[in-house]
Amino acid sequence: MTRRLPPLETLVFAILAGGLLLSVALILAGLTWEWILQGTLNTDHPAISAVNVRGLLESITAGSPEGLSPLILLSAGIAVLLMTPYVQVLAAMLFFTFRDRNYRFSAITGFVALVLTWVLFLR
Amino acid sequence: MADPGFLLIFAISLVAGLFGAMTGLGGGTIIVPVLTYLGVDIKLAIAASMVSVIATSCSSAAAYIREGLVNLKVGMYLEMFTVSGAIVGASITLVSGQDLLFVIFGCVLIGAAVLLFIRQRAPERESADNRDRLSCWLELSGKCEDRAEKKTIVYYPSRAAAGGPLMVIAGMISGLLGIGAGAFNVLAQDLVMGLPTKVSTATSTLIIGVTALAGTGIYLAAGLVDPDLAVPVILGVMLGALGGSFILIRSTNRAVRNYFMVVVIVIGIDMVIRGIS
Repeated sequence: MTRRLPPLETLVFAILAGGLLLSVALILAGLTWEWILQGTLNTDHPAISAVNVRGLLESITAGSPEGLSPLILLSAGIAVLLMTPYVQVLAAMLFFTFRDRNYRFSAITGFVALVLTWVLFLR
Repeated sequence: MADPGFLLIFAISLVAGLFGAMTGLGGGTIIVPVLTYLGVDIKLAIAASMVSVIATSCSSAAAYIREGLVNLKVGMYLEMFTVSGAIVGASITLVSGQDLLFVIFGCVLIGAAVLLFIRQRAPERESADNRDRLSCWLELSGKCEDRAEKKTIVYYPSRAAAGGPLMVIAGMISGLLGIGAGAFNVLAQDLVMGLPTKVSTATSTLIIGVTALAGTGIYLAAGLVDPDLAVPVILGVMLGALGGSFILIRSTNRAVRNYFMVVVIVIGIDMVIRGIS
């Protein structure tokens, strides 16, 4: 049975599935690289000591002194995973505001986005 | 911290994800106690589990959305409450002692298993139109396909004003213990808001991801997200959950599920004893 999803459902589905696939791809690439380099997956990476997701993203884009490394790919995979529900909430907020003109749900999703922005980027 | 090794954590997470999906409790409820058996600090285990909840949520919610079972409006309304609860819960974890966390985790595990056990036996209620003013104002009603009976079910969520604040508690449990707290989410949606069980289960998968993200933000800032632990847990729990859902859909034997539930209760009792002693 083929079902046509409503636009908001299609948008949320695409963000969740796309974000998850990208995240898993980055993590698997990082693990494969590590395996090739060291012959083992048992490593001793430091815990991510970023103050927030902004710090994590900055550390990923800045890279390591050696350039791109397996740890950067692993961190990027985790960062993409963290950003996926956040982007989904932002997209829903924009959808309700500009497409649906449902301002009640603009406010509701706006509140969730605001709380997440504070926790992930401003703390 | 003991280093159990990537493959061991991955294998355990796989089983935990499978177990969690089969019982309906989620992988986090199993992986955190098991990691502590391996000598991992409970706060690191909670943080790793919390990140894995996001992955499980993304995959399950995407699948359920495609099936037309998620009520996005109900989910987004309830997320307002769960994210607030998750921040409070995760902040409490940071200042709590390990023993207290063991006791709370054990109690929640037992409570969630008992709740699911009771819910399994409760008959599916007919969705009646007894909306309150807030539910009407938010236009939360929806419809879903019942494939078994080949009909469309129209449902009307009720008591949104009571269901919302209840979800603060579900969010707090999630943030505190690094679990999805799906059992509590579903219960609030089922019993308080009167959603059909399939819809509440599906909508809960969307809510737990956003809730877990709020909790993860707190753990990330505290430096508790360890890639060596988080990566195998994310991959293992997610794959295990996919396998568990696959088996669950095709399994008609409730005895297996009940057996898993008893194991979960035993783990919960053991957690309480470890915390006290």
